[in-house]
Amino acid sequence: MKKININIAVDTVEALSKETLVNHIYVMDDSTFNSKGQGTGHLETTCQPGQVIHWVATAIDLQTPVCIRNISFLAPHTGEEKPSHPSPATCTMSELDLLTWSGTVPYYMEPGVHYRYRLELQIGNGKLSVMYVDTLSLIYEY
Amino acid sequence: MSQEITIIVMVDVEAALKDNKLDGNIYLIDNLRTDGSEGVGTDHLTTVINGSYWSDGSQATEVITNWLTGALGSLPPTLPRNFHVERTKSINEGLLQTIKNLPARKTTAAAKANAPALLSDVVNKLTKTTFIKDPEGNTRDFGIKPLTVTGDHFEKGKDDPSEQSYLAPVITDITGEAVDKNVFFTCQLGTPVYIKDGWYWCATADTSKVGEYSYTMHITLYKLVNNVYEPVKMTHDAKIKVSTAPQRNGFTGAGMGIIPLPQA
Repeated sequence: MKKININIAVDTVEALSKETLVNHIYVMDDSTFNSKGQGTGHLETTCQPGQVIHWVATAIDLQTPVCIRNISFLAPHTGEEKPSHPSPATCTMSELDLLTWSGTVPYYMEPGVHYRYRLELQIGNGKLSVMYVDTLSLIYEY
Repeated sequence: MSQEITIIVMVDVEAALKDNKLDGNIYLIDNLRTDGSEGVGTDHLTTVINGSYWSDGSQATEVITNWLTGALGSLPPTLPRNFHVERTKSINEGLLQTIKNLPARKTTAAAKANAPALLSDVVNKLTKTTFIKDPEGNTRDFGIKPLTVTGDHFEKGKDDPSEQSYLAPVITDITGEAVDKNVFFTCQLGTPVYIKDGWYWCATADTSKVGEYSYTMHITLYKLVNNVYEPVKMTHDAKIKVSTAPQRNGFTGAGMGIIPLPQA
């Protein structure tokens, strides 16, 4: 099964200026199963159990880099965040640079269910450097 | 992708030309002070280079360093690159206007008597443009007037020397231990960005070579001697401190695992 790459392009200067990621991230994947919302902040990645997914964030600016700080999933029915891997308390950009975000889709993934996830990004080390969106999801359509 | 490193090389050109050395007259500033660079804003900078490697030992991060030069007491580098040419043109137009306004025949005898002197002064100023000598010693027409820091015609011997806008220092090479030991791979690149004046030096680092290395910047300053900008070559040393750390998976904190989806 082909690996899926999810690329998050971040307009880092806009996100920092407006203090939000909404409308300032462009997320796309290379899934062969027709994901919905390509190039928006509402990407629904269509995948299958056993498939490897790899997330990468890219800044749309050479001097203002961005790192993925955390990816955690929300409970599919209640929408509650179930921090599978809690966001680290403090993390500098150079520490976050050492993280890669990839994993295998588990076999217990249920078909037809939207698994929404919280994507936390960090731009620099300042007070307002950490921002997140809850609008991205994985879905197993069979 | 890690932070691209920028090192601003700010030179007090007037003082450096007077002392004939860069020590004490150069300020090195990088953007990694929060990561542990030492001596930021002084003449002895150690820049940290944070590398990383994959579990098979191969290099995971590419670290890029750029050097940008600036002259203390000069016209802002953000001005359009043709600013000198445009100013030279407009100063000359002003001088031509003076000729046009020269006292007409009907004016007083005193004004008439003064006219030749005024005319010769204007002609003298009109022809005052500079030449530049390249490192091989060839002099060529530079076509611009020397300017003050406020963009007016700088007249040597008449204006305060500190009013002169110095040409930006030019880096001509990066050499030394870091280059000899193949830690730094340097190159000069072209760019349309004004602040870099068309060219800048850049290096990528081999972050597997952990340790401290020195490097030498070869910097040319320009001294205005009798309307000729003459190159004065100088060198200055700085250091890098290379470190590397392992890459790990964000979900597991170690190797690959499953994506932690909640049970539906």
